[in-house]
Amino acid sequence: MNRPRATAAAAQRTFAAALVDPDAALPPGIAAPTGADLARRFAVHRNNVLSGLVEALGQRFPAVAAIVGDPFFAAAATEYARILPPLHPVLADFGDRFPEFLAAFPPAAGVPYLADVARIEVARTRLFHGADALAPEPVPAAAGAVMRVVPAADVAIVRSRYPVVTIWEMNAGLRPPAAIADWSPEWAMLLRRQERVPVLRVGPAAAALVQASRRRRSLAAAFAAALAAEPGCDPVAALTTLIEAGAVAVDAPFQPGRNQ
Amino acid sequence: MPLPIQPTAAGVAFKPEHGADALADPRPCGFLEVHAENYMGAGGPPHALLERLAERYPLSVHGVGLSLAGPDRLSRSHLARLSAVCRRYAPALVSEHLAWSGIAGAHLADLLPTPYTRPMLRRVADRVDAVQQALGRAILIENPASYVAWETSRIDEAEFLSELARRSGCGLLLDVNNLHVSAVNLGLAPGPYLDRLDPARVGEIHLAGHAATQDERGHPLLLDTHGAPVDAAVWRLYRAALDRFGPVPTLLERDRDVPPWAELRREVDRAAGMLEDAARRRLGRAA
Repeated sequence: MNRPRATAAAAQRTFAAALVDPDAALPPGIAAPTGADLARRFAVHRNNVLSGLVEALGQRFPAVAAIVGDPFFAAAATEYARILPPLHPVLADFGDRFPEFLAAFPPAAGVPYLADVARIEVARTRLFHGADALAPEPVPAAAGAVMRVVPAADVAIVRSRYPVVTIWEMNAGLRPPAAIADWSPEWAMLLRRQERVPVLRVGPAAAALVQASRRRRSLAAAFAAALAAEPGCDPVAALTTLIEAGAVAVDAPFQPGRNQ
Repeated sequence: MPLPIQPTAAGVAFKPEHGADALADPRPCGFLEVHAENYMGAGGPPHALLERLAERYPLSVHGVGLSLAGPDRLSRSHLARLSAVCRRYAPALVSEHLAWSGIAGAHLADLLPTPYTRPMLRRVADRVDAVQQALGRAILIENPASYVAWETSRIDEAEFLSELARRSGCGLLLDVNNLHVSAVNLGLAPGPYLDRLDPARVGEIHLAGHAATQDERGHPLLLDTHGAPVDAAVWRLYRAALDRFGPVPTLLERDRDVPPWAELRREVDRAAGMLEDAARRRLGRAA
């Protein structure tokens, strides 16, 4: 074993650990010129790390930041970055677990819808950077003329007990902030349309149809799922809305002239 | 067909908010540089915009995440992502840093200081070699902005970089602002530093702004913020670098308080003018 290398690696690990631990002592083995304040020098790196990660979360969760304000957001994001730092340098997916973190973050307990707004923002950025086309349709094992509901885009659904789409819109600059009179639950559907990722309101029937499309269920099975999710709904109307939104399509895989 | 970068090209670190202006500018600047890590998603608007820009501008891909001087193994998955970006855009230049940016399981999003020792030199050279093998091309390695030094360091930075280039065949990206920041913070002499670099190895220059502060003891402390116009001292050092190296593709970086495209262009054009002067001086000397 190369002893100098092992020592250098250990020193670097101590250095890295001290960057994210506010109570850690200065790591050994570093120096600054005579007369300079070494602690202040190390604090530059500490600040670069935390401000860089907090900024990355701020870019991904602007509506969450708008709801709680910058100082609260920075405190929550700093805590998150210390507990769950990014695993790799692609920061676009840093914060995938921020919604769960916020749901369990005691200071945010008074803002129970915050985690759901964060879920919208996680889905939105994931879709923004997602593939431009769906993966090619796998060839079904058995032939048949059954009409199936299939995905037409990468779609995300966020289910909430709060009017989360309205709250998100108010904090994303899409509608003026105002008191919310109707606190009925809202579910969000997100998908990418060219350069944008719109956030649409959907009900349980539509969510069930999207779920059915992922499993490529038959039209009959998808309608049954929609009715089970939302008794008394109009599954045809719900499906039409989803088709018009570009979220799902209806496909009969082995009809002559299709899927050639 | 990817566009080449001329030695006298002055470019800018691309920000998405400048997309429309960059596409519409009747007088495109010499090249654009992007952070590789911002284009590692599968698709979407960032790639759509960069593909349109690549039709008008030569590209440089600048990585910030390989952690070449890190204590862990080189990340094969990150190298694969970098390879994918390079395949997609076939950039004229590819660069990374003499730095490390975390440990396994924690990417710390900062460029951390390297112990300048013989074992580390071998380690970084091996990794640069592995990266170049994977990409099928030479890369440029950038000098860091330093705030602290390792007590174990036995080689000065310019010598470390020169030896790294000799061993691995990589080129060097001289960040003149980083050199100025490190020189003030660590008490180095930038002139001898430039003299120690092999002109044939310097393939790109970076310019940026910094913040001048003092620590509690009154000692100067420069912060590499990329948040201000290029400082007069950095322009002077840039002129000295051009005198030594001749015209080298030069990039202006601005990441904070980003001004409008037209204002950035004025700084880019100043660098372009100095590059043209350097090319003329070189011709005059040859004649």
